[in-house]
Parts: sequence; structure tokens; C-alpha cells
Amino acid sequence: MGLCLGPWNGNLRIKKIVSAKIEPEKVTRPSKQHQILFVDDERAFLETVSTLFVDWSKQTWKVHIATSADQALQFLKDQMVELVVVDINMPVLDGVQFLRVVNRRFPDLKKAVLTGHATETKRSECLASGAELFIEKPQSSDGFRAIFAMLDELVTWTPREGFQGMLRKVGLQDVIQMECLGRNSSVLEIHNQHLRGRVYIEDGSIIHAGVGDLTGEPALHKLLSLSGGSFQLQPFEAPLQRTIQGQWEFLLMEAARVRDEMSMQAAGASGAETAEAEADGADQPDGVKVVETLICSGTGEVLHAWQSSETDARVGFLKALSALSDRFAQELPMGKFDRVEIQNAAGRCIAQVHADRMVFVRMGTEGLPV
Amino acid sequence: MKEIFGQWLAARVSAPGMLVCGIRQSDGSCLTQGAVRTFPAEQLEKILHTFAEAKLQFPAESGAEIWSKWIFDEGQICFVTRPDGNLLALVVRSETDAAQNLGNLAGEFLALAAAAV
Repeated sequence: MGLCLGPWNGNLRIKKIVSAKIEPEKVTRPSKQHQILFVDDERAFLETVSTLFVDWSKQTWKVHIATSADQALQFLKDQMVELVVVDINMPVLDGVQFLRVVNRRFPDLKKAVLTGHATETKRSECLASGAELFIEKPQSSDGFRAIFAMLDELVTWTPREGFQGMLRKVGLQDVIQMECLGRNSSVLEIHNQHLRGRVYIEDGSIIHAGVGDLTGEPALHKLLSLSGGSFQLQPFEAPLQRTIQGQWEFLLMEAARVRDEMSMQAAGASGAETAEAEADGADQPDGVKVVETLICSGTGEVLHAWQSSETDARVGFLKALSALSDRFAQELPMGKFDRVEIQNAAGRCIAQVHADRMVFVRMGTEGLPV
Repeated sequence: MKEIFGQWLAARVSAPGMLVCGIRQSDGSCLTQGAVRTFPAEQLEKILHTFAEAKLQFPAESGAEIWSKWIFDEGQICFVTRPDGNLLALVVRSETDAAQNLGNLAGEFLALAAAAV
């Protein structure tokens, strides 16, 4: 995810992003447009998001702007809006107060906070005041793309279809990733008609998960394997115990692998557990630890690096993988590329290459697998 | 060597879920076996050459044998490099017997190499 990890830099960044804007395409305006209201006292920022997001939405968004809470409330009284995106630092009536008023007057309206001044306190206040999303303002075009995808998912969400709040492109795993990347603290409550569970994230680390009788990583895997239900981000509260250790990147990778295996079992395509373990040469042996992680945007901007002393080389490697996977996909009808798993005597690594992010995780204790 | 590889590929291409498989030998020549029309063996030959050439640009490898699985929405490509430079590629449909059996096939290929050498 191309999420902002630092402060918002103001107009300088806005100009840079606007200059990188893609050429407008000839599009036919769709019959129904989503009505979205952005509230921010920075007019330049409002004009930027308005231009970019309408463009990226291919005209499926109609963006309205308001430079004050008063102006926004008046607009909401007069016109039907599906999503309001608000900055929390505004004069007179600030964003949190605005959210409370909106939540009371328009309970069905979806709400998101997009701010350049994020603090844990503000975040908790906003979530408690009815915001579905709390996001830092991005610093790059990639970041804006990620924000757009999240907001687009939020605005197109309809109840009783998959996960409420966000689904498909931006799902549970993406929300957890967003929370971890932002080093946030929160509790993700997940439920469907059969079960209810929680994932605890503290300062960007997944520290506990519980569902039914399961706790720890098995619970996390179970929750991330659900095909539908609802989830809500709640303010952080400390769990009774800490059952999960380790890097969130690896935890999510492992959860994805377990989910793949579970779906194969559900489809009846896999055999007994022993046969499966023998069959998959990439299975992680006991005791293997993550020794390096790197996350970057789709264009190679490093967002997070842990024990990665050769970030340039890794980014180059990920780009090479991306180019190779594109060439493979051109030759054979394989669908969209997800990841490559590489193993040799020295260890194992997983590299995930998506349009909006690239992730490199290395396991093992010696040497470099690649 | 060529015969051994050819026989081994011919015996594996009919596995449920196998789409196409091939070996790029250390001299650059290729042996391929296709199972379905939409996955022509010629395309795999291109992929084998592309992979073999691109690999040179990767960071130095610490081991002679390397195994990689490229996962796409609708299929997987497994590459196995032997110590003497022979390269195996298996293209399988996801969630099939062949996909489940990639580890065994890779092991067979490496063992085959040892027997042949």
C-alpha cells in the first residue's frame, strides 16, 4: 500500500503530484455517479483530490468540496451524499466535532478521515465518532492511488455482500496491512453469522487474535480465511494476553498461504495432510525465522524495511520479478501475477509484486536465497 | 541426457493439471511437452530462455540448486535449476494434483540429474 508514513508536506507535494497526473481519457459519463464530499480548509488539496479522483474513477465519482464544517453541513442538508471525507484540523468546528454532528444527523452516511496530522488520540476519537476509515494524507502519487482505492471500495460497499466496510480489492488483509504500515493501534472486530473474533494491533504489530476457542496465529488464519461477514475498526484496548509475536508482513504472508491451502481443501483438491506437506517443497520448516522484510510501493518507493541492508538491490530484484512475470503472462494465459516463492539450501524468500505494492520477505539464518 | 530428460517429461505431462513442461539444457537447447492447445510448448520455450537469461541479472545465488514457484491467479510456473545448469519448468493449473505435486516433481528432477551425472 502506498501509504504515507510521515507528515503531509503541503503545496510543494501537491504540485508534484498534479504534474504526474495522467492525461484525461475520453470517457462517457456513467448514468449514476457516487456523490462524495471532501471537507478540508486547504483549498489546494481539495482541488488536487477532486481532479485526481474524478479522473481515476472514470467519472463514476462526483466530487464536491467544502472548505469549512459549516459549509459542509449546509451542503449535506441540501444534497444527498454517500461518503464524506474530512480533515480533522479545521478552524471553528474541527473534524472530530464535525464527525459527531454528521453521525447524529446523518447516521447512514459513510465517513472517512484523511489528515496530515495523525495522532493515536485523534484516531481513536475519530473511530469512536463514527468514522469508518482514518487515513494519513499521502505524499506520493502511489499513495493517492491507494487512498483512492480504499475510498472507492468504501463508497461502493453495499450491505450483505462480502465484508461490510471494504471488500474485494481492499479487504481485511489490506486493512490490517494499512494499520500496521501506519504503526497504528486498533482492534479489528470481525463477525459473520457463525462466529465473532478480534485482531489486536498495537503500534503497528499484530499482538493477539481470538475467535471461538482459537487464539494466536490459528485464530488470525481462521479470521483471514472468512469469505464474508462484517468488520469494524475499534479504538485500541489491551488484550488479556499477547499470543502473537513476529513481523506482521510474515504473519500476513503465512495467513495467505494457509488460506490458499484451506480453499484447496474445501474444493476437495488436496489430499491428506501428510501428502500435502510432502508435495509442497516450499513448506516452511519448523524454527525458520523471518530475517529480512522490505515493502515498497508499486514504483519502488521504500515504505518499510527491516534488516534489509541492500534495499536498492532488493527493489531492483522486485522490479526484475515484476518485468519477468509480465513477460510470462504475455506468453501464457495465467491470469494476474501474485507472488514468487524461492528456495535453495540457504533459505527461502517470498516476493509479492502487485501494481500498488511490492513485498519481499526472507526466511532462514544464513546466506541469501537469491 | 537428452533421452532421459525427454522420457521423464513425456511421463509427467499427462498428470492431471499439468499444462506444459520443458527443460532448457545447459547448452541452450530445449525439450518441451505440451498437454493442452492453449499452452503451446513453443511459448514455454520462450519462457525458459527468458528466465535463464534474466536470472543472470539477479543478485548472486548462494546455492547451486534453486527452486522457484511463480503463482498467478490461474496457474503456477515452477522452475528448478540443477547444479549443471539444466533448467526445468513446469506449468500447472492451480488447485490440481499437479500443483500439489510440484515439490515431488522438483525432487525427481534433481534426483534424475544426480543419476544422469
